[in-house]
Amino acid sequence: MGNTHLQRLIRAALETEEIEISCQDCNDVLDSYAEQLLAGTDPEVSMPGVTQHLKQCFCCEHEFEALMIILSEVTNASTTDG
Amino acid sequence: MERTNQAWLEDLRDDSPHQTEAINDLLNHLKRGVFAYLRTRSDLSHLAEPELEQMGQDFAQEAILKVKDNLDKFQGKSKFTTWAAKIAANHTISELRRARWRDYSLDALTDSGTSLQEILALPTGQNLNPDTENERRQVWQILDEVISQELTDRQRQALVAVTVDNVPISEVANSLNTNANNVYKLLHDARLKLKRSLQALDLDSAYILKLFE
Repeated sequence: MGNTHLQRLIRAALETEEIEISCQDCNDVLDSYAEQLLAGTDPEVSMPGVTQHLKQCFCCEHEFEALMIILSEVTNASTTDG
Repeated sequence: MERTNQAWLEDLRDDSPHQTEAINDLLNHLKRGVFAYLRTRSDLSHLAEPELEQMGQDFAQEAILKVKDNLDKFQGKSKFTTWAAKIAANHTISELRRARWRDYSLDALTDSGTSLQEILALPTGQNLNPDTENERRQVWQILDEVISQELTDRQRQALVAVTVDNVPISEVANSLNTNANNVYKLLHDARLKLKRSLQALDLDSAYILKLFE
């Protein structure tokens, strides 16, 4: 139990960068980030700050996961309907 | 349904003769996606499909109000529908979070002190050689010192709540009477202090993590 908490804390600390973008900055470009990923382009190349933020912020990570599920469903629906 | 970004912007304006049609098209687009997301949530698995469908419809409708209110903020860096989906995802998660953490109080959490005690209590290593045990103790002492002595009260509260107890940043922000960006800054500053102190040990990062597996 204690190990899990300690590990999570240590990992978060060790993966910290000197400069990180805010939740708002991350949200501002999350749609572009998602589109790049869906298009098969690695968004980490053009938006490394977003990738870093998503690793550290589980709230933004959850929103990104929700966005990807919504976009995938809509894309599938378009393909099926079309 | 296929519209250019510009057509979406024009059709969703209040003075557009195509507004109702555009809203319906966007609603159909979003509610399907939101419903699909809700179905993946284990904490909603007790709800029947029609209830989830209704919830998806409600969240999508509410999200469209936000989309309409923010049309001027769309910068055209993605497809309009992707931008609208981002707003729907944000709204859905925010609403679910608000319901889940309605009665949350940071004071209650920190008063109880259980989380802090847990992370500050060095777990007993099993069958470790003395050198490894010594390294574990060194790492733990660094964490203990930084958390107890170098972090501000607000940094410590935010760190424990978010990193240890998985409390959403937005809820911590409400408790601290600030916004999510400021809480993220508190967390970042706290993590940096911890990182710099851990780096002073001159141990490999992966090795440090392995010490606590």
